[in-house]
Amino acid sequence: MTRLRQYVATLSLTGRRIRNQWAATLAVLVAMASLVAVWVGLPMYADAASRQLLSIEVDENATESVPFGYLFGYNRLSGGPKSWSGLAPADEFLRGDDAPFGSAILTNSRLIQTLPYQLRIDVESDATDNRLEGFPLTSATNFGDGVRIVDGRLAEDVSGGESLEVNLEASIAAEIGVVAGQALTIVNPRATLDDPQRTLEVNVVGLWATRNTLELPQLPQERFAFSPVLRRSLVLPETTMIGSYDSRTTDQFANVQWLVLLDADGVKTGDVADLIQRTEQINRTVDELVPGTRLLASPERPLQRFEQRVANLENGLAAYSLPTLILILAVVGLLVNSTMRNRRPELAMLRGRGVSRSRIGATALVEAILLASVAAIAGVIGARFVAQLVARTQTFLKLGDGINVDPRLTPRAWVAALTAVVLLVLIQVIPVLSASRKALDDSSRDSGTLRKPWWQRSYVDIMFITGVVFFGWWILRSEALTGDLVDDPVVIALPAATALAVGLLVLRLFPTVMAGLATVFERTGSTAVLLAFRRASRVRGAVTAPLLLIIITASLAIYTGSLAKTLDLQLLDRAFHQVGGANVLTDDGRPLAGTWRIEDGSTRPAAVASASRAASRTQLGQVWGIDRVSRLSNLPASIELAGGDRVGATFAGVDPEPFAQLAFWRNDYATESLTRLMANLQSTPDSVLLPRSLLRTENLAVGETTTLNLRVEGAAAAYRVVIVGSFDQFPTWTPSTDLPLIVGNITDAEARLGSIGGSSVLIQPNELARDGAQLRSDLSNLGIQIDSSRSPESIIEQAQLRPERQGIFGLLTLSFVLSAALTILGFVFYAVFGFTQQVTELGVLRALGLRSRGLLTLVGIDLFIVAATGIVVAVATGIGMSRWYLPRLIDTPAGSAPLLLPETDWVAATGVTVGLAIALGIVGTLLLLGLRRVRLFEAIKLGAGR
Amino acid sequence: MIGTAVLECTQLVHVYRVGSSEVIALQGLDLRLEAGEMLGIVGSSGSGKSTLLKVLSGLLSPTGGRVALNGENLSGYSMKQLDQYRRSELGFLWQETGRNLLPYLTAEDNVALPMKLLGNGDASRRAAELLELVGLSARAKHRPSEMSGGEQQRVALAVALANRPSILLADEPTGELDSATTKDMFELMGRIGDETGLSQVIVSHDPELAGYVDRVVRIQDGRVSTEHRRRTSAALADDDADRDDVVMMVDSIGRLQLPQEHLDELGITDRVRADLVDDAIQIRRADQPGGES
Repeated sequence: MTRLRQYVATLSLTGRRIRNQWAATLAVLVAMASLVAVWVGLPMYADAASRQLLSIEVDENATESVPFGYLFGYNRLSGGPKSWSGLAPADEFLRGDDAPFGSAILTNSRLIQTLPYQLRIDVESDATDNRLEGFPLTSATNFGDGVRIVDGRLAEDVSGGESLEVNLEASIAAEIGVVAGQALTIVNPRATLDDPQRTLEVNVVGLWATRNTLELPQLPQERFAFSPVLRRSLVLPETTMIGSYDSRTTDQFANVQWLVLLDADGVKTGDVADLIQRTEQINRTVDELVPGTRLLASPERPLQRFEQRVANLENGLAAYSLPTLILILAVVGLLVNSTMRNRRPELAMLRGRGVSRSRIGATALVEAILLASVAAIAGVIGARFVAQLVARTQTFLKLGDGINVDPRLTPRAWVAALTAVVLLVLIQVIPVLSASRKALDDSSRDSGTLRKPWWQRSYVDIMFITGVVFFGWWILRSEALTGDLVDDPVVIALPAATALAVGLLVLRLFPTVMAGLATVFERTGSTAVLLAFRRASRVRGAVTAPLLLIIITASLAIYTGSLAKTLDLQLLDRAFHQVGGANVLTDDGRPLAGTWRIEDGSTRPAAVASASRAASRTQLGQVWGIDRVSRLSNLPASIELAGGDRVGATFAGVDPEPFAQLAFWRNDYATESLTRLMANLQSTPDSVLLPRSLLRTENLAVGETTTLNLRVEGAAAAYRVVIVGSFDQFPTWTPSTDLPLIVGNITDAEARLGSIGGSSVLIQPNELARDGAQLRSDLSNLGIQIDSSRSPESIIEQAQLRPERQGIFGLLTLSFVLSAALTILGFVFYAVFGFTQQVTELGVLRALGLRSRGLLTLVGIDLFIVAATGIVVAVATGIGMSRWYLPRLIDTPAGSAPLLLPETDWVAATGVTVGLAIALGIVGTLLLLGLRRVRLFEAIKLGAGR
Repeated sequence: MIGTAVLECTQLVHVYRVGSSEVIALQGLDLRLEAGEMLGIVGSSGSGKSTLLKVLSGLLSPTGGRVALNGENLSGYSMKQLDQYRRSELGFLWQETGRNLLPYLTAEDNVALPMKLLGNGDASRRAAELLELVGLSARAKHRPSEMSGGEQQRVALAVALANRPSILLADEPTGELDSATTKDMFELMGRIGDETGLSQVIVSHDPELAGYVDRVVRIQDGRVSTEHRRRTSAALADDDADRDDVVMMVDSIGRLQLPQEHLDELGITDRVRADLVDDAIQIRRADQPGGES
């Protein structure tokens, strides 16, 4: 009971202290809650994004022949069974209830096909012209649901009858002259003449045709009913196939396909590994039951892609979140230590009065658990917002509608929350235990505030800085860099380490520089300024946290802004580059996407259209809203070299004059401008532009001639051409994957070939047609139907919403916002606690005759020195990293063009600098105003402020 | 007459390490505190007064020598026993309010805190009694920042007495008080000593201290140099009444510190001769011829 009372008393005391120091406690709680929010929010986002990725991979993005399910195929050529009885075990397994698919079955279908038969139109005649080869008997599950009967009726099972009822595709029936209700004989050409199974009588009871694909409710029908093999088949009911047909014949089964469609919506991210494992198990079982059965499609590939993307996402988030988490931890540590300074007298008093360290530790543990729990609850609530904020991120510091996520507290999130709580408890308890150990020794308690921090005394900072320099040097020389934002966390890890190294270097040099400035100010009459610089040169440990926070936060923000701008512009440029520069309509029915770029270099949203009908250049030129039109051909070609060798290439024929005005172009594409290159093509007949790489490898030069071979369907031409210019990159061309590009005048090519067939057409809409609606309407009036339209914004948005990229930029955005807030909080703490530590010194100065204004100036300059030093160093570091690291750390993704152009985001640099300066200025001003208001300087007594 | 020693220091040595050098704060100090005695300790800055107080309170482990509590060596105490010693045997009174009182507690709560930390369920009633004892019942609900320096020290005295200690250690308790308040404070401490039989060690710079305590010892260079017993003190036996107020202290190995003014007058620098003359020891310059001076 007594012991309980003792603990209650200590806890009660803790409660009183917390209530009394509520502002500091609140600040610590906010910092801790921020840590939990990020710590827990990221797994929550990862989980939500994983679900999104799963949906993309198994549903929207399905490129497999089967969206989400199994397709098994059996062919008798594999040497397996040829009768239904031999195939039945696999059929029973796949259609039975025991197959361990691991997900709800939507549809279970099969297609069974026999070897081909001869079809005899005239039952009585055996003439050769009466025989039609290659008509197998085929059955498909739910065949009737996927087709419409245009004449007659659907075949039924007539197991007892002599002839089998079948259906025939209407166009085939018309082609071979069969009508509904006609009786036919089918002959097994492989059977001997005396084989009683050689002939079968069939009755074509109905003719079928395809339904509109949009009417199809489900895919199995689409797959089976519209399978080409069904068109030239005699389709009979499944029951007939495995019933009376099977009983009348021997070893005639040729192909079987089993299709099992699973419910993708019911699949959880946690089921993925199990489903992949099941795929292997099912495949093994089917192969054992019917050797030769092949797995043609399964959920394995989409699920493995999903696993890879989730791994990338989680690894990226983990790596990118590390600097942020360390930064927040540092802030939490700073705040806890700051409040610890105020708590030391209490600990000293308790220890002096005989309260044991274990009791102080136990009480601190309870207090820490309570505070950490409160922070954890707030943090977990905040984690949902963190996950949603990340999901709404378009790019760095830019939020949009984002993707619709439903963050959930998964077991991983709970584990993260618990880990955070344990960490926060330790962060709080360890300083208390340490302080309680020294609480009785006030000589050591008060010493050391003016000493170098331990990491400077033991040269840890110098070792770290040296490590970063060597690491950076090694990384930048290493060829192992992927240059990808997601796969290569070094893109952020190296700058983060650099920012920290610079911060540590500044902290080591800070006292020396300040002492130097103090020497300079000795010659001026300003006592306050001199004293401020002298103090700055003395106080080492106190400036550590605010300086490091400002330097790391602002420099990383500037670097990240530049990184984001570089990648965003790359997205935009890539969209333009792929299309060529203007809206593209195609006259060969291929859907194409298109964008345009205004000539001044800025980019604007545009309609992106795909057309399904031919449209000529002249027609398009007449459409209201279209300013310019240029054709862009894409023909197989080659050039002949001096030794007679040929280099395969692609010929891009353009209309030089409009192309020069509407095409997407960047200065790094060629040493000459596009206008100049196109003018060369226009002015020189039979001229071409070649890639510089080709000129180099083949020893060609501008001004020389070579032979160009062009080939189109039904025509070819070979003629001498003059090389009138060169380029490194060209719209629509991907140098790393495509054949060399030869650019020429399309009119010249037409003259040589007669006709070049189809070509793409680039169009440049004017401002009024920018939204695409009017353009689509006018094109429609011309009979050109636009199937779909998109804007470059949507193309870019789609890329920006890729969960891996979005997660990282969301995290970086969140990191900046949090870091900035915590930096300001840290600065407030530095200002307030720094001031309380200076009280005695200020009291002495006041007693010596320094006026209140002088004291205010002294405190103000003290804050200014820290803020200004931090901001100046941060801006220089951020810009330096942007200019030095970006070109070396990120690269154009393999197989894409154009090349990535590193950009420094000056707007972000200015915004961060000004924003931070204003925020810190406001904090400093408020503090000084507060000090004036409480007239603290008048109240200072020596030592009274302790 | 020698009474019962509550605390006794023998050949106490303490050395501080400051950076790479060492500072000897106590060098063979001997001291006794008798039951119910009010002992004043004076000395110049750096003489070792505060170090002595920390050693007495078990806050600092002496480099050498012995501190005995009721004959039991404190050096043999475990950390737990030391905590217990501070909890139940000692009361502390420091110069700075920040070390005596928690700023966010009222006077009443501050006084009750040591008792509550011991699990005493009757803390509130005793806190009220103690505040009445120091004459601050009316200020029970006030926080330290709402009280004067003298009031704060009186509350601190009540805090120190909360757990009914047998010894009160006070380090410059009147250092921040004016002379009138100082007088009140010393009188209060004397009265409490008389009423409760509390043994008290008071470290002070105050020259008036000798007027309020039973005995004042001066510490110089880490050793007791002189002792001043109050003639009116009841602690002094009648047969001591004719002794001089100021006596020099000889430590357990026979060392004593001579008054500087005597040394100056006789021109004694570093060497002397000590001769036994009848029942006295005669000290003269080493270069002075022997015989009576």
